[in-house]
Amino acid sequence: MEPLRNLRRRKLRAALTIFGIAIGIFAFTVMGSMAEKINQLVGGALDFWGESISVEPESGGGFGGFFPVSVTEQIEALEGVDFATPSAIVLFGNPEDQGFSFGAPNLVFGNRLSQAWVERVQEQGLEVVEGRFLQPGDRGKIVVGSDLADTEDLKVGTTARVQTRDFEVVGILQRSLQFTDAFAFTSLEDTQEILAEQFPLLTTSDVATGIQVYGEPGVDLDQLASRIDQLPQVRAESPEELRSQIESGTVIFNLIIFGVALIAIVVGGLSVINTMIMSVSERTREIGIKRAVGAKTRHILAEYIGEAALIGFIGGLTGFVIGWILTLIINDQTRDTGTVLFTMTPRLALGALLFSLVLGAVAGIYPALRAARMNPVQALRSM
Amino acid sequence: MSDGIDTRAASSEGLGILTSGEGNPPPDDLILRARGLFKRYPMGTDNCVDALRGVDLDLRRGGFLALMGPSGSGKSTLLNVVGTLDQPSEGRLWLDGRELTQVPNSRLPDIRRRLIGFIFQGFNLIPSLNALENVVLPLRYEGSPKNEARRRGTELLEMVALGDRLHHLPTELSGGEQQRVAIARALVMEPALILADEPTGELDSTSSRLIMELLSGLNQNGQSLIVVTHDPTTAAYAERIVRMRDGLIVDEEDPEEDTSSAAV
Repeated sequence: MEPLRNLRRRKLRAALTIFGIAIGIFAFTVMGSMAEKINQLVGGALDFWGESISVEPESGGGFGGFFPVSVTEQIEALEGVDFATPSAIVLFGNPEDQGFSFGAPNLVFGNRLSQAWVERVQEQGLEVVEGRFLQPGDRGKIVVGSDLADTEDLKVGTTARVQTRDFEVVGILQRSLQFTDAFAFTSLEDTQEILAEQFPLLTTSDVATGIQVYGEPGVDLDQLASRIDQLPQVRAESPEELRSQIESGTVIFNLIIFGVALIAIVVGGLSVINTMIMSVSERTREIGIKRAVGAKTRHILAEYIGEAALIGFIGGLTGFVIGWILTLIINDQTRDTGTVLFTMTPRLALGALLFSLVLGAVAGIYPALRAARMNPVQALRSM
Repeated sequence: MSDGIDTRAASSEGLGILTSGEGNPPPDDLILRARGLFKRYPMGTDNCVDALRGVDLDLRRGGFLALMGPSGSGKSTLLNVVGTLDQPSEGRLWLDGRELTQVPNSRLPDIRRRLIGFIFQGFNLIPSLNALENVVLPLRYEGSPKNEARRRGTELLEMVALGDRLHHLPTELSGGEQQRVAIARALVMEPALILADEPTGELDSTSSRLIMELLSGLNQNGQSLIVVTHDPTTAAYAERIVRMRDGLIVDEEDPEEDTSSAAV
C-alpha cells in the first residue's frame, strides 16, 4: 500500500506526527469517557427523578433539613397528585469515616414502601438481578446497588451494616452504570431511626428529608410543582427545573471535551500540515512523474489527502487505544472504592476515530492542493 | 508564421519528417504536426525569453526522429510542449489527428496518459513502488482492473527481459534495468507516440546500446518515437535527425546518408 510505504520512508517524522495526534486523541478519549460517565449519570437521574416532582424542606433537602412526614398528606390532598412518597436519606457508612471521593457517596434511601411506589420505581429502572425488591411492610431489609454490593461484598442473605444498624440484604440491583449502582434502598422507618440516633435533638422521629410526588396521568408536572410550592415549609422542584439544574452541571464537562478537541485540532492539524508540506516538497519530482504519466488533479489530491488521513487515523487509533486502556486500568483500580470514573461508549470510540481521520484529511487538503497545482515541467526539473 | 521553415527544404517523402507551412489538420499518415510553435518565458516584469521561436514539425506514423542541439536550444521545451506537459504560447499542435491546442487543460492528463509515453534521462521511477507497480501506474490512473494491469505489466517487463525483477524496487535495479522499466511504463498504454529525453544520458555504453536497440526494435514494429539526445551514436538509430538552435529547427539530415555518424 503506497501511502504506508511513503510513511515508512520518513519513519521518524511520521512517528512524531502520529505521536502529536495520538496525544490529542488520547486526551479526547480520556476526557470523553469521563464525560460519557457523567452523561450516563445525568441520563439516569433524569429517568429516575424526571417523571416526578422533588419536594424538599424550605431550609434545604438531603442532609440540610427535615420536615414532618405529615406534609406528604397535605401534598396528596392537592388536585392532580397521584401519590407522594416521603423519604429519608442517610449515609451507608459512618459519617466520620467519609473521606474525599470522586464519585457519588454511598447513600441509603429510606422510602415509604407503598405498593404504588414499589411498582413505579421498578418501572423506572430499579431492576433486581438477584433476590427480590422491597415489599410494603418490609423492615430491616435492604436492596443494594451493584457497585455497593461489590465494594461491601454483599450478597442476598448477608447482613449489611448501615452506620450502627444491621440489615438483611434481600436483593441486588442490576448494574445500570448510573448513580443507583452506589445506592441502597430500605424502608423510611429504618432510616428515620438512624437519623434519630444521628440527630438526637430532633423532637420527633417522624421526619423526612424529601418527598417524591407523582402526578396523575396527563397532569402538567411543572404546574403541579408550582402549586406544591405554595404550601408552607416546602420547596418543590419541577422536572424542568431538575433537568436544567442537572444539565447545567454537564456543560463544564462538555466544554472540557470541546477544549481538548480544539487542542487536538490545532496541534495535530498543524503537525499534519507541516509533515505533508515537507513531504510534497521532497516528492516534487515524483509528482511531476505522476503528472507526466497521466495523473489528474484528483489523483494527486486523493493520494496526498489519503496519506494525511492515514496519519490522522493511525495517530487517532494509537491515542484511542492507549486512552481506553488507561481508563480501564483506572476503573479497575477505583472500582473497589465504588467509584467508576470512565465509561467507553461506541459513539465515543467511533467519534474519536472518525475525528482523527477527518482531522488528518482536512489538514492534508492544503498540502495536497499545493501538490496538485504543481507545474509538471518544473516538478520534473526539481532534484 | 515561424522561422522553422528550414525543415521544409530538408523534408522528403517517406522519412520521419514531413513539412507543410499551412495550419491545416494533418493527413492521416501523420502522428504529429506542429505549426508555428512559440514558447515564451517571462523574465522580470517587461522582458521575456523565447525558448521556441516558431517551430514547424511533422512526424509520420511509425517515424523515428532524433532531436539534437546544444543546451538551451529548445529541444526539451519542444518535447515538453509536444508531450502536453507544457503549453505553447502560440502555434498549433496535432497529435494522432487531435488538435491538442484546442483541448481544455483538464483533459490534457487523459491525452498524455493515452497517447504519449515518456522516457526520461534520470529514469524517473517512483522510488516507493516496485518495477511492476511503476509500470502499471498509468493503468492505475486509467482505472483499469488490477488483474488486467498486473498481467499487462508483467508481459511488458518480460518483454524488456525483466521478468525476474517484477517486485524489485528501483534502488535494487541497475541504471539500464531502471530505464527498461521506464520503457515498459511508457509502452503500457500502447501510446501513439513515445517521447524520450536523453534516454541514454546516464547509462554506460553497453546499457545505452541495449536501450537504443530496444527502442529501435519498437520502432520497427511501428512505434512512433522522438528522442532528444546529445549523443550522435544514439541519434544514429533514428530515421531523421533534426537539429535545433536558439529555439529554431535549423537543420535536418538522414543519418543513413552520413556514414560518419551511423555508428550503430
